Amino acid sequence: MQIRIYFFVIALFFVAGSSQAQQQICKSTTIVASTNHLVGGSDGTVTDSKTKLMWKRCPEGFNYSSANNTCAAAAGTASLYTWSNALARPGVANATKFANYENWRLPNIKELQSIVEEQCYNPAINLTIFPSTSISSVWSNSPLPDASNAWYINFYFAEMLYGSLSSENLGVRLVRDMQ
Amino acid sequence: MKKMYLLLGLMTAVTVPSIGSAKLILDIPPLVVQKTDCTPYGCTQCYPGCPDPCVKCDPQCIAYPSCIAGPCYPTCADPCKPCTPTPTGGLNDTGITAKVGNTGQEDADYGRDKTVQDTVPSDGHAGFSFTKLDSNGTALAASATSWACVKDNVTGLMWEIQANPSERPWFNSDNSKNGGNAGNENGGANTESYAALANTNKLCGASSGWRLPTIKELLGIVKSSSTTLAVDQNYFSGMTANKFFWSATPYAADPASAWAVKFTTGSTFGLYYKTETSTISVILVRTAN
Repeated sequence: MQIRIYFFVIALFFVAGSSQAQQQICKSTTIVASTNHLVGGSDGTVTDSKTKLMWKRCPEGFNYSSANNTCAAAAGTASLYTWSNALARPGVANATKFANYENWRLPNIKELQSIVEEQCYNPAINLTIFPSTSISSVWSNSPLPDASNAWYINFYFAEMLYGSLSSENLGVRLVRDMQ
Repeated sequence: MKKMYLLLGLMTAVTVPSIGSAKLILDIPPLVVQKTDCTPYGCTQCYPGCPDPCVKCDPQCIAYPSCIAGPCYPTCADPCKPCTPTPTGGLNDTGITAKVGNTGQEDADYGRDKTVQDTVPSDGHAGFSFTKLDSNGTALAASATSWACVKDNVTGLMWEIQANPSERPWFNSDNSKNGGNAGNENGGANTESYAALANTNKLCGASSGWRLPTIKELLGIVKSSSTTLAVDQNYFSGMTANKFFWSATPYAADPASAWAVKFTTGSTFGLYYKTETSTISVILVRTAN
């Protein structure tokens, strides 16, 4: 009986972690989950009742499929951006009214950190809510005082780092205020 | 065209006085009331219907003695003060007000740092809103030179303030929260005992709830507009340069480590060994009532 339960848990884990070769590790019994209140929608959005923020489930350059809860690379759309190209992505989402909203934007560094799931790494995010993609590092819209770097998070371990506005090419996740 | 405007202007000029006189008539009854019944109260100006008829009150504010004359804000936590807005819904803004370009898509274009035009900060840098508290938890003026705690009016958290923050190793005996490694008990001088002592000593009037902040809470007080000392020194006075502060959040990738914030840069790192007896300081937090 115990063996069966273990097998079931492992199978669930495999599905949640998607078919990527690398496997997410979550310390669900020894670290308190910090993002388990997030609610994913079939329209490709995520609702956070605590922060009153809504997120896109997939990074820019990926399309959400509700049928199998995955993010698939969008043909002909880049998924890595310089900071200034990243800042142009909300314009695209707003022009096409993604999920019928026109106030998509980049998150600031604290908002971006609010979706880090510290219980996990590889990556440190809830993969059921934000399905797995090739994107690891994600830009914020928060520049450093030197005006030549901006903050980002590498979701593999979720360390907060900064990179050059002109030379770094990173992923983008869009957010909007729900009020 | 000009003539028509002139005509319109004349018509308005004619109508206004008639409205004005109508208002004047409506204004008379309160005057009558004031004139009639003041002698029984022993005052020249009186306000019947108010708890003290000699003290002016706003009928909407009768329930709030300290602002009975108005204005009052019945829907706010403190009905005598305007509500503290929470535009980011519990997250603090970053404190960044400078922009690199003019895309309208940068940090400084959004959030409380933008909506609260705090050119002379009365309650903290940009969108931050802090209140100094004394050792009993009583609110002090922003100009107070000595304070024991700080309340964050946006997140609702209450922070311990120490001139020289204690440096202790990370320890948490709760196996459901310590990442599978309790850390360094260090003969009783650790983060867990430090928090317990704050509760015993009723730090800022609170005998329960003192604890290490989560990494998300600790990041909340970071002032990201500075990378040399990333916190508002007018309130968090003991958090001087080169200080690292512990969070309660274990590092998932390594049970021997926990997350800390480096206040020299304002970034979060999870690479600090729980066994560290120096280098990393403690700041306690509790959810304010």
